[in-house]
Formats: sequence, structure tokens, C-alpha cells
Amino acid sequence: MQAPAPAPEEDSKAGVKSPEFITIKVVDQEERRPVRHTIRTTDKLQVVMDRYYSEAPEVTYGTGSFYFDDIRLKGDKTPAQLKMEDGDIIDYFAPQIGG
Amino acid sequence: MISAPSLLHRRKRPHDASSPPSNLHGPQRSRRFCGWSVGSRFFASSSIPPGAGFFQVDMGNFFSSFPAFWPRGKGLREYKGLVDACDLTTVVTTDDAKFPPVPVVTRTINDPRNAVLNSEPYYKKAHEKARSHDKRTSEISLQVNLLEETRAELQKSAEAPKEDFSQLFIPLTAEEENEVHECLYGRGSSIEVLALHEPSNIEVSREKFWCLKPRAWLNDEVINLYLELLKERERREPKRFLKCHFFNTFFYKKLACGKNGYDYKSVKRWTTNRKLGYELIECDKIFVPVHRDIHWCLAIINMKEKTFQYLDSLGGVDHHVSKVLAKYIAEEVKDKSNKEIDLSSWHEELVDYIPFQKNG
Repeated sequence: MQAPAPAPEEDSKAGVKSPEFITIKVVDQEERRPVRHTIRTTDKLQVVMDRYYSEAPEVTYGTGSFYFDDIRLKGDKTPAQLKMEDGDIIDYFAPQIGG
Repeated sequence: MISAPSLLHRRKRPHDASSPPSNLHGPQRSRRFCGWSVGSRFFASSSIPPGAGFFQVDMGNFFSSFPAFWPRGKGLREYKGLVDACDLTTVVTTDDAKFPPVPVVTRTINDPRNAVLNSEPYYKKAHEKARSHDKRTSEISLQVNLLEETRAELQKSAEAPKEDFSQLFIPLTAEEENEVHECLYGRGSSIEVLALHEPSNIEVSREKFWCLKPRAWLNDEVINLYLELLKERERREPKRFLKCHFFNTFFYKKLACGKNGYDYKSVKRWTTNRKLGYELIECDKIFVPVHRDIHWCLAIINMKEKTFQYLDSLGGVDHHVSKVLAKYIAEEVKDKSNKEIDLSSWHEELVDYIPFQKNG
């Protein structure tokens, strides 16, 4: 999984033309099981989200929110748009309800 | 009984046979001066030590208040009559020979000036007596000041929001009301997105919107969206609103409720100048929603007033939140602005002038 990481860095130094691969980690707040996923920086983040839902059976598909720091993620955005780098962490937050 | 006019008359003729008996030392003292002319009397009475006059009045009050303790002799009754009929400070003529002294007071004072000289000076007593109320007076004036201030504040707070509310909360038109009703109770897919807020990427589906129905549980999305809208409003009219920063509902969870407890690093990148365009140290207020399992609270880092405020509509108290935020703001300001905050001058405020919810 970590293997392609050095290559994109070289790419980014050379130029940004070719799509680079980065590995993104998705964690929940209980830090039960981080889900790693490697995608192209031009791929949509929906891929990562779907991967997370598939690996976390206790989470209902489509619920909760994904945040990159304080930025809420939408499935149609790409890592490049968010200037994400290899090894960056995405937070999954379960829905909060309260009275 | 002796009436006042006859008394006055007698003053002029001190040795009149009909003069009242004097078995009382007070009048005895007066007798010294009674033979003098009226003109000299003024001089004489002004030269009397003030204690003497005071003493007289005191004795009169003393007698009249305890009549049962004293022998019911003629003298006392006559004295009482005097007390009732006239001012005791006036000079009364007496005749010892005709009426032998009744032992009303066991200790006779021949020269009242001695008594005055031996005892504490009158002016001191009077001064002390007058001063004895000073403390109470100052207390009252303090209380009055305090109440005045409170009243002014209340008036101010009662007046200020009034004009603001009318501008800030514009009632919905009938059309808008219909739209809201449609969103809340209308038919349609529960996952249909009713609102998308582009800058924050927050989508509110019909299902999430239902949390705004009366007595429903609020979810994170509507709160976060509302905070975004508040920030947008402030950006639109920066002169009208305080400079604020609104953290989302996940910030506190990330900062304080991780596996290792408080962790500044986990939120360090949330507030870079590049993202915000400002630093937290420039803000007047920083809002931190706090999700407590099934209840929403709000903490505010009030940079302007240097307080950590905590608002709980159920009246809850949590000092831990203030401690966490104190630690956070100190580290944040040091990290982003390279400045030190002296937290010793800050204090914690449990805000209780807020609406409380009756359900829950």
C-alpha cells in the first residue's frame, strides 16, 4: 500500500501533469479500525467513502460525515481540489443528535 | 395640674406661693437662674453645659415610661403633669420648703455641672449617636447604587435587543411559511436533498430537515449549517456584527474526546490563516458547540471579556469544558500568532440568563 507513495512525490516535483496516487486513511473517533485507501488525486472522494462504509458494517451507508480537518467532504470532490497529500487523514463522524 | 401659660407667668414671678413643688433635681437646677431677668436668661441657658438640658429631657422620658416603679406621690404626678404640659427644657421655679423632697431618685445631684464634667462630654455622645447611623446609611447608599446599576443594566439589555430583534428576525411571508411546511410535512423521498450549502458542502435532506419539527431531536447538520450561515452574515456586514469564529459540532469531540483525551495537534490545522483569512486572536467570540451524548450545549471563548462561557439550556455545569478551551486557546494563539495569553485574568462564567428547555 505504501509502495506507490514515493513515486507521486517525485511526480509532483517534476510537474503536476500525470495523476499521482496518494494513500488516505479514514478514522472514526473511537479509532476502532482505520481504513486506508489509495486513490489518484483526480479521483472522486466518493470512492474512499464507499470503501469506508463497506469496511465498517456497523455504519449505515450514507450516514455520518467525512471531514478533512474542518472541511466537510462531498463525494464529488477530489483530493487535488482539497490539496490533500499522501498520508492525510480523513475523520469519519457518526451522526450527532441531541435535545 | 399646671398649664403652660401659668408656668410662663410664674417665670416672671419666681417666688410666687402658687409655684409648683419641686422635689426633682432637674427643676432645682433651674432655680439658680430663675431669679434672673429674662434677658440674662438667654445668656444663662446658653452657658449651661449642654449635658444639663439633655439630662432633663432624659429624666422626663424615663419617668413617664416607668410610672409604676415610682411612688405615686403628689410630686411625681405633678412632675408628670409638667412633662405633659410643657417642654422640659424650659426653666421651672420650685419651692423646696413647701414640699419636702420625695425620694424619686435616690441620688441627688446638687450641681449638675459636676455630673456633666465627670461624665463623658455630651457632644461626644451626641456625635457618637449621630455617627451610629452612618454605617447603616452608607450601606443603604451602597445598596441603592447597586440597585440603580442593576436597573440601568436591565433597562439597557431590555432596550438593546428590542431594536435588534425586529431587524434580525424578519417574520416569514405566507409563501415562505408554506415552503417550510412543505419541507417539514410534505410528501417526498426522505433522502431528497432540500438544501445544499456549497461553501460548507452541507447537504440537508428531507429526513435531516425533520429534526426541526417541534420536539424533535436536533442533528449536527442543521446546527453546523446554521453556524455557517451566521458566519456568512457576519462576513456580509462586518461592521454590524462582532467578529466571531464558529467551530462545528465535531471540533470539541476531536479536541477533547479522542483516545488520548485533550489533543491540540488533532485540530491544529483547523484554523490556519490560509483557510480562515484571520487568526482566532483577532476574534471577539469563538463559539464551540458541545455535544453531550443526547444534549446540545454551547461554550464560548469570549476574547473580548476574557471569559469562558458555558450555556446549557438544562442548567448543567461543566468546568472541564472551560479548562479544555483555556488550554486550547493558549496553545492556538501561541502556535498561530506567536503570542502568550495570560489566562490568570480570565474567568469562567456559567451563563444562566438564557432560555431553559422544559422537556428533556
